[in-house]
Amino acid sequence: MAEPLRVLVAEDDPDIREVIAFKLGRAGFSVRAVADGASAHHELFHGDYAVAVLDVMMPGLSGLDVLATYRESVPQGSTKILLLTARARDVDVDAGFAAGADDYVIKPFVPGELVHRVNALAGRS
Amino acid sequence: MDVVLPHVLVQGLLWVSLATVAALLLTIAVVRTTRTLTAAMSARVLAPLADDLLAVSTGEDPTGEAAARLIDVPRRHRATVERAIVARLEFLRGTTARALTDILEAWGVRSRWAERCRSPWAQRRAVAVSDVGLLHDEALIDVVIPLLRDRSRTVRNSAVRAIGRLQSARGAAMVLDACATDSRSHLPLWVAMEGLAFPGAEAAVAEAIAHPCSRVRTAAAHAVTLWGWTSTATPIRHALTLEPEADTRVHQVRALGVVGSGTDIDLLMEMSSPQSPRGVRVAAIGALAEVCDDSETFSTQLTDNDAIVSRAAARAYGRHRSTPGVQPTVPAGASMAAIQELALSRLRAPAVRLPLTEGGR
Amino acid sequence: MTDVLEILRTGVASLLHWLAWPLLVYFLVGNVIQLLLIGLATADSMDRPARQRREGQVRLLASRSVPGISVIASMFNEEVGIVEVASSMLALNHPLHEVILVDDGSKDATFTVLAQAFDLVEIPNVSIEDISVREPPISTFVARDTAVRLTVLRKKNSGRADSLNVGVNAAREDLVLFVDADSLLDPRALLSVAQPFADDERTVAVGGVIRAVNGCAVMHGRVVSVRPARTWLPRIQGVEYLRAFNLGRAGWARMNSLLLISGAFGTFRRDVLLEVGGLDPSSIGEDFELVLRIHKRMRRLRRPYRVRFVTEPICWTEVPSTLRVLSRQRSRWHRGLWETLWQHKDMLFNPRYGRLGFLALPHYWLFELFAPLFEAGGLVLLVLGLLLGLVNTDLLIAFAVVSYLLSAVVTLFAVLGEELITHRNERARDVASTILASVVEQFGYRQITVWFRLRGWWASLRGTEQVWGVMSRTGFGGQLPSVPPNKALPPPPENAAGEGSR
Repeated sequence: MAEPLRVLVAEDDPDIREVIAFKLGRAGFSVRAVADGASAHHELFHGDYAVAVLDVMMPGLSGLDVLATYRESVPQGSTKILLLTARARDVDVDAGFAAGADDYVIKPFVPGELVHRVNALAGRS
Repeated sequence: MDVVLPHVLVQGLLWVSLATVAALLLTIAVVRTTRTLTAAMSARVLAPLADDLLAVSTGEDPTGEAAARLIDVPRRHRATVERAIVARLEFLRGTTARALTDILEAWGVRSRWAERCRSPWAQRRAVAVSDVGLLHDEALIDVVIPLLRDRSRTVRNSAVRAIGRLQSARGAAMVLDACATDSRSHLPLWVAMEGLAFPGAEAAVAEAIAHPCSRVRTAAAHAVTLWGWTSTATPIRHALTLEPEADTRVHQVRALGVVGSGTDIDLLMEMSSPQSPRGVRVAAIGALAEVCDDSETFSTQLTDNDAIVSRAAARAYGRHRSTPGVQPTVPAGASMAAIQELALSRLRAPAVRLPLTEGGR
Repeated sequence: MTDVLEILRTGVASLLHWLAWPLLVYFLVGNVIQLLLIGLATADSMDRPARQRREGQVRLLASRSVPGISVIASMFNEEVGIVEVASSMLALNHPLHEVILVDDGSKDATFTVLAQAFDLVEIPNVSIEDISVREPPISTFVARDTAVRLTVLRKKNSGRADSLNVGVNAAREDLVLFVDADSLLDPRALLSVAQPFADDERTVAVGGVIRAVNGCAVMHGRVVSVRPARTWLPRIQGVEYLRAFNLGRAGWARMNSLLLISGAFGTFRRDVLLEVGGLDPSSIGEDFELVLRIHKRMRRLRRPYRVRFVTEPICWTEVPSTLRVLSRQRSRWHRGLWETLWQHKDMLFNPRYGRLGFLALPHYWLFELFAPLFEAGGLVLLVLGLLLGLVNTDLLIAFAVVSYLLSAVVTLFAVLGEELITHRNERARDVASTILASVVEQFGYRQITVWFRLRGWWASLRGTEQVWGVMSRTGFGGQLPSVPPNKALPPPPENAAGEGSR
């Protein structure tokens, strides 16, 4: 049995964090959940994650900040980034992608759909 | 000549101040500990139910056992679990959200929340009406509508949001009415948009385009800009030709840019002429860029005296003309602002079109 | 000799006789007013708890109706840290914002580092003179990647106010946010300041909370952990900001009488700025002066308007950590206060200006401008009286209570207010250190600032030319300053970025 793929979840709302971590865990991922951008930044640097789910609206270091610094400092990084955002406008989505995100999910979301997206990014069908 | 101060007064002042210091220190400590204690208490109630709650929230409850266990929670704990469920409903949707609302309905929250919507405390009313919206049942609209005229701004805003969730066409019409300037409620426009963010609002918006109050007309036009209902093109066109307020015209022009077509070019050209105020001109040029493919439309405005207008024209012109790396030809007499904007267009890569997928429907 | 002593004694005694009560009442009233303002601000903010406000910002975003903001900063010799600051400003959470940096004739590598970091490309320079400026931009640069909405304007040195006006001319969005080139903003800052404009169409200006970043952990231009400063001087200033600048201003805003929006973090409607003619480059308290002028114009035209204040901690700046820099800052602030109040003295007790003329401005005159005079006078009188044996215990206690103890009460009240509004959960340890700092503040710090303020005021009255200081940057994360401290003060009008009138 292959080693489970690692997923990082960065979300400051504990309820959302719990839901996402649980669902991804049930989907067979090894999940590390953190509550702020600074920890996420640290983890991305030192861990080996297939996918990172980052909330855009975190105080301190936001999801976009973590994304930008990751892309800058680890240009060859293989971690795929999925942004969790409340925006629904195309323009804003473009900004996320321009910064190097691989996909995004809008809140309110369907947990199953989130797993589907993470699976797709992790290269699993 | 000693200065005489009533001894009693001074002593009193001293002791009152010291007592206040002590009281404040105590209050600070109490506030902090209360916060930690309440969090701890509700954590204790929720701990045994955490797994079930997670299971239902994430759709990992195929047999429905977890949901059944939650429904059977003793009455004294229901309030805490209710808050936890509502917190999750704020960010979830789809089948799992419905599973959570089923639990709430099984507890009969409807009548309780409807009652709370009439509470004398504004905070309570606001929370209650927001919760009602989370049940996503249009039948609840009559509970929500009266709160559009509530004396508290927080309550009004929550009511609008609830109407957006309930997706009631009647509610949408009331939201638009509540935008009127003479109305005591006087909703901010961005809040009103939340109450109109669903397909069923189209009819109400179409009607509000010709509302007697200019602010309502503005709200309606703004909604059209955001959601582009094509059926509103004719009313917008008609309203624009009669509109006395410049601010409203700006929004109507923008709306026409979204839902209009080539037949509107003449009207928009009129709106962009020097007789119009600057805001209207800039909006009209933007709208023309949307409905018209011919960049020559903007060549006269490139030479306009108003720098902001000529810059808007250059932006439209550059958009249609430029392919990356190729220099758009600069018409003679173009203003400096236009030239600068054209240089910017040269740098811009063509817009990347992304698939409009969302978090699952 | 005894004659002199007798004369002195009689003199001090009669001064005490006449001034004791008025001074006591003065301090009492001053502190009570502060309490009222803080109470007002707290009650107002409690109406919408922090969580709801945050949700409101998210909803504002999702409503897709957020007004656009042009973030404008003037730079002078900011090669240390400007790239980080610019990156963090560009990464702020807002769908429609741009960053305009105005290089006010920097003599160091400020522009070079920016050009390199953002791949700046020159575009045709145009000077839109909606506001007339002394030194128009010489050249205009943008980032080659136009998705990065950064504009850098280069011009000859003419001071902060003029540079900001140049920025306003180049701004494309409806709202303008003035920041200092060394300020750090929370990612949600733009949504926070945009909200009052979106909520109420009458809003013309919004002030915000500024907190001391000394001691905080900073990562990539964001404050990731809030801690009080390690040395006493900045720590005390942190308390001072909390008490005097933050909740106090929110209280005035609640009464629609906010007169002072800090230049380090103020948002204005661009069209209103154009109407009043932008900042005044010849003024020392240019931020204060701008807001007064806005008030004047709105009232004269009888236009309904609001000046608001957001209480979330979203802007962080480095406060002076040495007495030398602190003294320059406070002297300048007080000088700016005096000159602006005098310039607009026609507003005082003028019925046309309503609450401003009868409440806010008199308060500023009496309890801000004259405060150091009364404090110094009272202290000197008290000490003299004690030495000459004229002061009895009661009088001493009374003075101590109304001026020091009550001030501590006000500070505690402000700390409580912050707890109730709860933005970030600070550690109990830090709250305790804040309370301790507020005690230490009363014995030494307060008296020193009185001296600095009086010096600034005296300099202005004597007509001394204002020399601007350069704040030696320690940078964030404790880097070594690249600007050598203690160099000769450069001739005016250098850009004093980081020292806006708070």
